[in-house]
Amino acid sequence: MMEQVTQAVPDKSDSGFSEFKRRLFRNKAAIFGVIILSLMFLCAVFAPWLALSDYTRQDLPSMLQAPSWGHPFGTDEFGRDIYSRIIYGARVSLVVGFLAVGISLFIGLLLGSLAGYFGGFIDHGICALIDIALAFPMTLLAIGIIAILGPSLFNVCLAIAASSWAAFARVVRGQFLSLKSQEFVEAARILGFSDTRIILRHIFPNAIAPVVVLATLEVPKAIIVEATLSFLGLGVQPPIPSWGSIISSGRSFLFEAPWITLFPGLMIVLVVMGFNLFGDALRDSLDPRLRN
Amino acid sequence: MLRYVIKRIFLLIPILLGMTVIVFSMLHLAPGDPIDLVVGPNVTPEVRENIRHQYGLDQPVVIQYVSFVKRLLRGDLGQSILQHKPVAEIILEKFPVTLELGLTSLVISFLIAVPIGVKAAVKRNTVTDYGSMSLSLVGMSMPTFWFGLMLLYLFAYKLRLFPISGYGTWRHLFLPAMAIGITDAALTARMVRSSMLEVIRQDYIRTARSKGLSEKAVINRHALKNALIPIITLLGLRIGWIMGGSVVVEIVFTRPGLGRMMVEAILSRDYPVVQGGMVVLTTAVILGNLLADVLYAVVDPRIKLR
Repeated sequence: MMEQVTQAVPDKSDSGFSEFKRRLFRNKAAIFGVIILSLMFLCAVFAPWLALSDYTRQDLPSMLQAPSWGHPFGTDEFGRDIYSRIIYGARVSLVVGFLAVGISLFIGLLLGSLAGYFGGFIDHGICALIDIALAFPMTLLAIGIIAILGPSLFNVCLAIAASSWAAFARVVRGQFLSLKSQEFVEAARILGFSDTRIILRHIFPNAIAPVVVLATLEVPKAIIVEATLSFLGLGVQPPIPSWGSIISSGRSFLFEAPWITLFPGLMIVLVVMGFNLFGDALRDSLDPRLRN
Repeated sequence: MLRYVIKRIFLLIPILLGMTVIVFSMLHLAPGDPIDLVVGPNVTPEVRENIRHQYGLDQPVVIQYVSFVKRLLRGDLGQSILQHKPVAEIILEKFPVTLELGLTSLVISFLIAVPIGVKAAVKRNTVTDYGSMSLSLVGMSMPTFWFGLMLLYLFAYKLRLFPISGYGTWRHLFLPAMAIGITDAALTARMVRSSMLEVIRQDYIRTARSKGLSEKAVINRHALKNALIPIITLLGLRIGWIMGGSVVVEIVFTRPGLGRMMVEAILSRDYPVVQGGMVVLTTAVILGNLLADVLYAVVDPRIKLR
């Protein structure tokens, strides 16, 4: 009997999934977003093959050169090839984007589901935490946390997660509140399932859609905050190239060598746009009611 | 109305306390002995203990926290380690610079976003709509500091229309305010558009049209006023974003504001200044949110009932 109950669900979500795929790929903006993101992943994964030279290789005679065939995006003050540094920089941006959102997702799912499922004083406590976290502007809180922890790639992720978990917790809590009173959850409870099982097997799968959409839209925010921190010298430290830190070094040569600043910025715009396009399309196809 | 405002102010207390806990723990969670920040490594243990006592660092953490909050309430933000001046004095000097930039950016953002959002909604699914929404997508995707650098290169260096750095006149203010205002407008325009689309569907708009009012009167007098109500809440939320943006844009344009002060303080480990900056900026943001909520209730009396 238990088996029957759990098997009825995958069947339905399967047809829902193909409907979702159909809607998603009908959207031209989504396809554009997917293309940008795929290219970015390829850059990050195959960086050593795509780069023209090692990102640390200095070549002082050819410093601050304008873009040319040999150096498509020019060179910096040490004669390093900007194109190669940008290709490697894709790794930092994507790692920080996903790791930061992964940490936020974990904390947000945990606290959000506890608050929504159990209610009472647990809910009050967690809601207060959410309000406090949301009261801090993301960039400021991240700067404050880096001031404590010191700059490093992992600390940047923690600093971003410190404010972005709250958005996840709030969405998950809302989903749990509306799902826990529905009949299939009642049924599971009457069957005597444990709270853990009900949360993980019955409510989670139904609460996941808006969380996925939020995650897609939080990754670009994390990428921008990482770039901002690295620009301020509070992010990923040299010699690892991050788009933000390339812009930071380009700032000192903005007027003689604007290409150092221009190209990494364009990459940020492109990736963030890719995630935003994909996230918007994902939201529209998962929940057409929100379309506007 | 007054009751609503008082209730909202009471709700702020836990948030402000939470903020002070985070800011307070900065000094204690930071690696190393805080004493090392005040004195060099070559002092005798007795001197260290003396200083520890003088700063109250030998007290239990909870007592230190209480006295930290008490000092905050008196407006005492401690002493800068490097500048040997009260932090409050430094901040008082820098805050107007940041506030000026933040408020100007907010005004610019709304002046750009409202007409674009309204136009896009009224001409829904036309080239105007797609064009302005594509532009808004690009604007949303730009890091503010990078856009600032690009403006700096183009308008200050190439065209020589504005000074490259500094502070004082409106010409110094223009480019940084544009950098924040335009990137912020990109998001706000989307909100205005969807809020406007929501309103246009309402019955009273149809009534206004069937009364024979001109389209201009329907949009400007009837639709826009109602569409702007939810935007007020957004205004509150944007204050935080704009303050965060000012911090970075101040670095780009070398404006002597709070943002530059904080980043310099972090890099030189002058924690009291970092703490003071965090307290002032977040309090400004929290109060900004409160103001927006109250304004929202004034404009839309239905809110109070909730």
